[in-house]
Amino acid sequence: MDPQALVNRDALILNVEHGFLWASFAAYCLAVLFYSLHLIAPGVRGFRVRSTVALVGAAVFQTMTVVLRAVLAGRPPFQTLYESLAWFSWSAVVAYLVIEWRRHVRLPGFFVSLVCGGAVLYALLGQSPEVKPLFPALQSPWFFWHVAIAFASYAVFVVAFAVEISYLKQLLWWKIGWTRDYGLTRENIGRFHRSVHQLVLFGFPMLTFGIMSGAAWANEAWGVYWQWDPKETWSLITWFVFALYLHTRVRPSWRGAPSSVIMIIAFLCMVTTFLGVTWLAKLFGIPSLHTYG
Amino acid sequence: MMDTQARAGAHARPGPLKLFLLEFTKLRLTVWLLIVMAVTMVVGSVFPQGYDAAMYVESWGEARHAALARWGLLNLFHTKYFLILGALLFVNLLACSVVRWLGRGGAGLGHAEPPSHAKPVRLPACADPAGRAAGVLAGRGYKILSSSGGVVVARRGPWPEGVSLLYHLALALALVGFILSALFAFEGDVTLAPGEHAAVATVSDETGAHRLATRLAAWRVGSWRPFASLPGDTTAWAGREVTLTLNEFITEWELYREKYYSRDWLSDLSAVGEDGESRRALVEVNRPLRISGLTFYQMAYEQWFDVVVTRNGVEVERVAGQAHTPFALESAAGMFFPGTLRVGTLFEKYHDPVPITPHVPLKWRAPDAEKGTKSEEIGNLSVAEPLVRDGVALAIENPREATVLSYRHDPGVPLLYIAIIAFMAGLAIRTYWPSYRVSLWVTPGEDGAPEGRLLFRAAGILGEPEDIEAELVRGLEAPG
Repeated sequence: MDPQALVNRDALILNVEHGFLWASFAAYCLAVLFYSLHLIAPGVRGFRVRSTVALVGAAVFQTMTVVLRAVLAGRPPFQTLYESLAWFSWSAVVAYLVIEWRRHVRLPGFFVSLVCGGAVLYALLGQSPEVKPLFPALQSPWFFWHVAIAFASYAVFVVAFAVEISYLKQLLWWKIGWTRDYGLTRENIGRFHRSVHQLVLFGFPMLTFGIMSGAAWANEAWGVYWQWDPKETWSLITWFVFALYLHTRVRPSWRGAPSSVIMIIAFLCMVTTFLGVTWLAKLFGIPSLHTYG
Repeated sequence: MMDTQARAGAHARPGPLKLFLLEFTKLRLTVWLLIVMAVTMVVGSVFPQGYDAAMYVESWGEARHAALARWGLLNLFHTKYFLILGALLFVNLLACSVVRWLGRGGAGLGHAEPPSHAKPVRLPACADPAGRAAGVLAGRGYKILSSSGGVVVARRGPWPEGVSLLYHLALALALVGFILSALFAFEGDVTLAPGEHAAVATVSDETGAHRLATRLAAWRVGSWRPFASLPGDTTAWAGREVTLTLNEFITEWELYREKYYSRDWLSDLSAVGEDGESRRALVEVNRPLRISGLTFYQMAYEQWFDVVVTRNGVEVERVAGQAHTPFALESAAGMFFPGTLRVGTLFEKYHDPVPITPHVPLKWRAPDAEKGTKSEEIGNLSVAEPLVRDGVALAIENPREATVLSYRHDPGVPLLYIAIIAFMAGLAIRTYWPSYRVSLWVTPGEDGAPEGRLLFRAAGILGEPEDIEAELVRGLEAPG
């Protein structure tokens, strides 16, 4: 086949992939709308069903994005920030849909849709969709395992955060006398809240693997496994705060407000590790090997 | 009963070792250590760490640099404060490991008295209620750990304290690895042009241990110098080296949307180890060469060329050029800023690779330009096509490259890898393999019927502890 024709085909695939990402954004907007309506009128079945359908649609569109991107680039699709944001939101929405299917509670879906929709919008408006060549340091088998598993942990933590916020919101509503329960009762809310702990327990080994595989990769590429680079430091901070959260779950008296506060701080640390480090490095003029260009 | 009293007495009078362990295994200490270390790291991430003083002075000015340096904020992760925090964490981890090894991790489990939150259970009347309860537990796959003094302790799944011991010990082992790195690691770099040789020593006095030994050797009490013989005779190290020869240096570029991207750079090396072992290897980023305890990494490259200026076909000037190093010419005004020399092989998607005509992108700035003015792109300096400027033609000749390899000796790394594997294994078992532990206290009730108090603990994310506990209680309360 003529090289120019192949290049044109690539451009077409890129446009289709970009179109799917816009479609997923539209689906996230619909999901936010229906989850909001579900919050207002939890008894209406149509809102419940449509919110989940919209989110499944977003997941399907994003799956197409991820697959097309991987085919086009011939590598895992998480080199640029555009790709990472798409991969992040895809992982989070898939993780959430599994939890919604298992727990039959839709309340966290509102927060997950907001986070994922926001990430996709940032990718669409703030980042270039170019499929750039992979530079030498990233040409390693660690690239897939390190990034994919670290992002899987991020996805799980997004869901854990959404469940935590839903739990706190439900407690607040009960406290001020609102009776809407969204499938949560005083009997089952403890079990619902425990799923935050379970999710963090599930994601923590993956985050650990992400950090340790990053160190092993750095040692293989540059001969230094740890340089206190801002990204490394913040990933360790995130790990420490999640470890702190897990330790607070050991003592019954710390399982309420203290562990909830630490969970929210841990999530903010995770966001800083993912996105804030680039901003931090620019703001303070700190050189970092890990910032997105 | 005697056994129970003895154990209760032991709890009342802890010995010094136990007191130490109790202090260092307090959850409160772990929590505070994690908080303080996390906050310290946040501060450390805001300031660039470990750079030359000149860089800080240039960016922030002398006064601000001095203030930050005085507080240790520019090398925070190597200050005594941070090292002490690390040491405390190490002791904390070690103490937790010892306590788990001694089997005291599950507070309340198997103690003489049930804790206040133990759940009441209505046990059916029989001759041996504790023995019957043990039978019920054994029937559900629990291993009975003890059944005496009216207390039944049982477990199902992996030994949680053992697993916890594994990952706490792994973390402690990782800290030992860091210490080994700090004491015995050394590193350096070597630049080689094709055909050149270099010898790299496999031992070095540029290590933390050597510096420590030198300081100890100078330490004296009066005229007594207890460590005077340190750091020992280093002349015996002569000849312990690896010899490297660069056969070829290969650079590859990729063209994407008319821009050049680095694709790969590879050093074709012949190496002879200190034991005479001879090897030939292609070293690239992510593919280092390991020989005689040293690891060589593809780090960077250096590039040079001659800038040739001609007027009407006659050479009027020739200067030595280097990539990313500005130069000036007598025959053309302003300052010239060369970029990276493009040489080697060019790859482009759907095209066959082609050799690159060596060229350097060139920027220029006027002689009277104000400081901070951006330089303008004026084209490429090439071996093939001259760049015309101020009536003269600029070209390059004799483009050449050298590889820059970094090397490192780090005996802490294998320990770290063992620690990583052990830690991940521990975490994975702890998380994904459910483990249940039960303590049941059986006492005679006021009406003669046995009363039970149940403490149920679950670890791991799979399974629903409430359901399993409820099913167990039903089994224990069932008559017959």
